[in-house]
Amino acid sequence: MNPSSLKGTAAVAAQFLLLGITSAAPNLDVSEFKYSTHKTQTSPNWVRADNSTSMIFDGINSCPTQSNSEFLVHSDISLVKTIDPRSLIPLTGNRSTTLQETLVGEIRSWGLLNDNWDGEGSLKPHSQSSKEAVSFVNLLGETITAPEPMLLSSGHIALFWNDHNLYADIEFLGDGRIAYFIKVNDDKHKGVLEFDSQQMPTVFKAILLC
Amino acid sequence: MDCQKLNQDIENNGAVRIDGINQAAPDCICEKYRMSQFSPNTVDNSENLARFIFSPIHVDRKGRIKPSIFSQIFTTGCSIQRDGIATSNELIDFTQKFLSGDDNRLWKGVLIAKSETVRKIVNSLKNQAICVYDTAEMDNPAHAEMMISYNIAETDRAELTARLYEVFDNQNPISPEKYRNGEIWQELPSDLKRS
Amino acid sequence: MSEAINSKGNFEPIHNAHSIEQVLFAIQFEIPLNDTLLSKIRNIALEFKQDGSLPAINDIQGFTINMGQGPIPSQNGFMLYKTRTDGIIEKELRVERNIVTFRTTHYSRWKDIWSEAEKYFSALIPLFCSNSKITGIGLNYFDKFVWSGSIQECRSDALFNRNSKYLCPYIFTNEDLWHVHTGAFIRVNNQTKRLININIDSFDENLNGDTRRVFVIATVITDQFNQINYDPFAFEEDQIIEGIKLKFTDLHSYGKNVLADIINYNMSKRIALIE
Repeated sequence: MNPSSLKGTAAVAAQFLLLGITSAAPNLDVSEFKYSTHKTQTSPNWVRADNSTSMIFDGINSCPTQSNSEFLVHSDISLVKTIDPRSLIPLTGNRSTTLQETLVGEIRSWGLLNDNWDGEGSLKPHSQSSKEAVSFVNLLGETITAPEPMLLSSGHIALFWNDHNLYADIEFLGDGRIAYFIKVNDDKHKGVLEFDSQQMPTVFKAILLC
Repeated sequence: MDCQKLNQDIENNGAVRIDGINQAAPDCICEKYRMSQFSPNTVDNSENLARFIFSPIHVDRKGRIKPSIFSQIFTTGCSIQRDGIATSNELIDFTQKFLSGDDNRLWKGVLIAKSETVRKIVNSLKNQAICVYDTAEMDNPAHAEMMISYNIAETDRAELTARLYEVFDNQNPISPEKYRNGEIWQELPSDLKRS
Repeated sequence: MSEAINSKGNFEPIHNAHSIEQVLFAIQFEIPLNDTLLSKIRNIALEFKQDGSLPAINDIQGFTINMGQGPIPSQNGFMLYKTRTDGIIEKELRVERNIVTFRTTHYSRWKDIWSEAEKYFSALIPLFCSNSKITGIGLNYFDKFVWSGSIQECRSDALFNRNSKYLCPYIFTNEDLWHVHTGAFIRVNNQTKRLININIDSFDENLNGDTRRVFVIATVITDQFNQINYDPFAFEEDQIIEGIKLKFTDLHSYGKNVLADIINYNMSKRIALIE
């Protein structure tokens, strides 16, 4: 690689960005970047200390000249600003798992069961029925009354509500259809309808989500 | 009607079994005849039926039983114990065997309903919807089963389950410590006392 | 190969349905923005503050070093973010002079998470591209798994794939904490040089007074363009966002395959990584 001179002032070539700096700029501590006066053609001047939190990876050598104001920089420098996961602090250590995630997780955990999972000859979960149930749960959003997932003897997944005046049992038939029975107060609704996994069927919007 | 032979001969294969029984003996005819040589007699209307709950999958986040506990009435036949004739020793053996079968099984409780009440549930054709048969086993003479009397439309299954759920009073299972005054629970080995 | 049956505990993905603690999208540019463009982009980005998606804003300060002088503060970007009610940042859009990143802890489905990232990128990237070519696109995942049993019973093969090409065999016999950090450059095609970086760390985490053993798998995948010994590449001017979408989708698929190689079959099924 032939270094060529990318004329920039030191001001441009040596900008360092530090994580988490707020608009009220503090006295910046540059000690994490060790500056060596022993410059050579091949060794970088600026070495990132191990505990650096900087987002910059200088993957290509910078070869400063003896001059105080000019850096020789390889013309093919790509400045890959790879995020270093060792220094990247996740935004939050432990956000709460949402109710939807809990429901979906429970349905997915059943996917590891085999036939006769209950000792009474029940079939293992039907994968397409599981997928449809998961899609339905995702479409529910964070509803006030969350359902309970059910695993039926047939291997189908169903969702169940039994709270206050609502009793609902929705079975995912694994072929793009849902069979349902819903009782609100004394009103009963039942049937089989198409479910494309993209939109909440209107009848459920009216009854379950109101 | 030789219901014992029917029960022995029919392939023990889920819905094929239920369909086979219903075709050969429709309208719950075999409720009038013993279905197993190990059974003392047919299930009388006055008998209490006990549905044991061993799978935590059938228990919701609030500890209530879900109607999925009865979904076997459409597939393999829903196993129950005839509470009035089952001896405590038989129930201890039965419970122990079940809990030993899988470390994930817990004894969550027992649901009870009267046989007559179950038989009074009707389907959309106004027929008796659920048959109760005395399908005793050699090591479990109190074993019985509930199964649908006719194939019903998908749209009607959940409603039928809801009726059964109501009849068995799902909100109130009897805990293992209270069932038969804890007699069964106390006799279980400590490693199986999982609830 | 059989996987461990742990009757005394098992691994659970951090959020039950999935294991993703954080996902980060990054787009990097060749030429840094000047002050005018940075200011323009900041003004456009303010719409995300106004519509409530990212209601808080902070400026990012940097410093410039002139040889023989001390550091001189300068504005190097801004970040828009949303916090939870307890003040913890939930998601963040970070704009700097030659890189834009969006990261969030609320992963649900790829479709949804990309939809949000796309909203921000669509508004800002065209202005970046008026000044410079894109030199890199990166996608980072933090996947976290928690051991439910006692720490002494924890076994690596209950989570990890013994045959994974990314893991050292000794981790399956080691009884204490370990880490594996690995990476490589891969030639994706004549225009794309891909850097993959996989860092797997185990640690004992204190949560509400209890200690639990946790494994974090950080997968960093970056596609770099216009590299030595590679053909030049630029996105079509009127297809930039579509082009970026395709790249991120490709990185997402690649990342899934990497994770599926690292964790065992049961866990891959558990988090719906495989059918």
